[in-house]
Amino acid sequence: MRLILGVGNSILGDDAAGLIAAQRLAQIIPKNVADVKEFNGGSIYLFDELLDYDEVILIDTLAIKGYDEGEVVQLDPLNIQPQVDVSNGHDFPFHMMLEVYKTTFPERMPKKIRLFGIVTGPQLVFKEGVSEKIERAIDQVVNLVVDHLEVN
Amino acid sequence: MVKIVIEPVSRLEGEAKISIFLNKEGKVEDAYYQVVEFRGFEKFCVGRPAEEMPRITPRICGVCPWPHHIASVKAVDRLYGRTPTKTAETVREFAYLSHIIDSHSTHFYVLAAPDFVMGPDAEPTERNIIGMLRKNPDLVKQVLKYRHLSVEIEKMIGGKPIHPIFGIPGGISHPITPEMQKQLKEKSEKLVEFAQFGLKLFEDIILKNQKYKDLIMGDVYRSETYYMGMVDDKDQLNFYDGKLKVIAPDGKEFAKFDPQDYLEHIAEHVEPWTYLKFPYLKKVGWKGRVDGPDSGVYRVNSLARLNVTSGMPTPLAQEAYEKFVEVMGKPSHATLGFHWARLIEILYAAERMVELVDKPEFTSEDIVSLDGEITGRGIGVIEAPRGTLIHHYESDENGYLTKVNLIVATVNNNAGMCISVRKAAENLINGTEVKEPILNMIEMAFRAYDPCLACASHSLPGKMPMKISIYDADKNLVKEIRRYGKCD
Repeated sequence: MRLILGVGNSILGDDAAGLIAAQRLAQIIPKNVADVKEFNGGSIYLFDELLDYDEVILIDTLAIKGYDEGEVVQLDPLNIQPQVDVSNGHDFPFHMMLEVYKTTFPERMPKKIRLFGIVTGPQLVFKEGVSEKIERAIDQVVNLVVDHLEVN
Repeated sequence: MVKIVIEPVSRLEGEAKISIFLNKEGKVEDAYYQVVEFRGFEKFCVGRPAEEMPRITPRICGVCPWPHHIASVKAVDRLYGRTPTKTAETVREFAYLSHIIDSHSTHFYVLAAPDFVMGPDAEPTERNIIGMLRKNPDLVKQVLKYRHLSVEIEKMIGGKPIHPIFGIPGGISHPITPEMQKQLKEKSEKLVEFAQFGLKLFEDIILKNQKYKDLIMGDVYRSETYYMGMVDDKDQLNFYDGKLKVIAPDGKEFAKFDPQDYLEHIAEHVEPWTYLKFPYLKKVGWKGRVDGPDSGVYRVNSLARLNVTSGMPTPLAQEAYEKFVEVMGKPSHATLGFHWARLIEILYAAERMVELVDKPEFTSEDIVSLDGEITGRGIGVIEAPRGTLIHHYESDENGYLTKVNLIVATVNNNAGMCISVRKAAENLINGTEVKEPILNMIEMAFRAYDPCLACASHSLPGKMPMKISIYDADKNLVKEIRRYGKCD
């Protein structure tokens, strides 16, 4: 079974992009093709959501040096070198938890994970709604996910 | 003067830095713990219907939403003038205690334990959960599988694993079915085993290691402050409801009050160099970031709760508490004692859940009371994993918010954290040649509080980079270590 998981915070401006994309995909993706869910939380909770799916499509905002706001980046988290030297809050870096969960729940972790990242700037003020650039990026991601599902 | 800056602090959510100033002799002259972001969450909430708050406030943080949900729903109970049904109170407390276990176990096993299992002077690349996984995979696997039980409970009751949607003014949104009750009971009983496993592990790895025991009990991590925590009508620990009790550094009761009266006892001092306020005891007064009986600085969180309580309400936790007091004394001023106290609280929470799940009202369908009139004011106070959490709302006659004030646990501990960091630095730094293990040991003083800077500054969830800078007596930067959150 597939999972499409939109990640973000609905009251943190552009950070809501993943959630909005998931809401739109939920309207058009048949339930027998994929579960579509929204998620707002730290990595340690994120991986609990991924367990027992064969394939997961994550949609989240990213801040990556060298990319402009509104650009869409596709990544394969399973094939990125873990950055084990990074620590983060009483939450944990994505790659650190990915390695922990791959080791701890090898049978239950998805075999494929595709990350559709929407590049945003820092979101430092609580507000609702996303900018026009991010709005366009959300549309782009929705189309890319639909294409991905058709091809795969 | 030499300045050392730790910015922001690793393994903590939100953004912060620790600045340590050295004098010409290379001794610590002062230390500052600063939060560098501000997001104006309270302002964001003003004008909204108060009933939205239990769903909005959890979004402050991606890791500890449950305490905000519960404190918020208690505040809106009062703002709407509704008294929750017995079933609602029981199920809320049950679900919330599951989060206590989730939060405490995550902090201890993933954030604190690497310092002890791998060693405080281990390489940073090894001194983390991955290093522990390599060293002792069975331990990590077992912990994660046990912890998962508490997450499942949160999800079963809250509707979502991390942002609960079940607390509503005067009650909860759905009843617990007998089938759910059966599953919840089985999971709760397993969590008691998990708690006992944790205490045994703590004894084997830490208490039986004299070096670690000396570290915990020594001056590096000792601060003699007031302590505050919630107690029930038997003067015993309660996370969900009760009175706030304050003890003095000598252990004597200083105050016990209804949380609704918090403004009579707590004031907030503001410093220009940080966005975090410094709550202090009004009747003692603000004397700066110093400990002792003349300073109004108080601390909250697990150690504070065990210091203020007269005992634990459940039998196994009481046994563990007695051992804690025997070893640590009462009150214990050992900041690293927060870790041990957390494990005892996990045991209490699990035992209490087993009690609650069997109560006759647990599966009743009397889940909400709609009786009541808008009062225009609601204060909800609970013990969050990190300490006392206060939500204070005021509204117009239609329930639209006119004022929102949150005093979160990490803010309550703001001055205490500053003191702990300075004391650790004073004891550990001698000269400008400060190596990474020493800086980690200074961070250990900070980390013991399990501070949530996302909650404290209501800042960016999921991002917590870290910078450590050292300045000499002429304020020249002589050393800097950086770690980054997900944005870099």
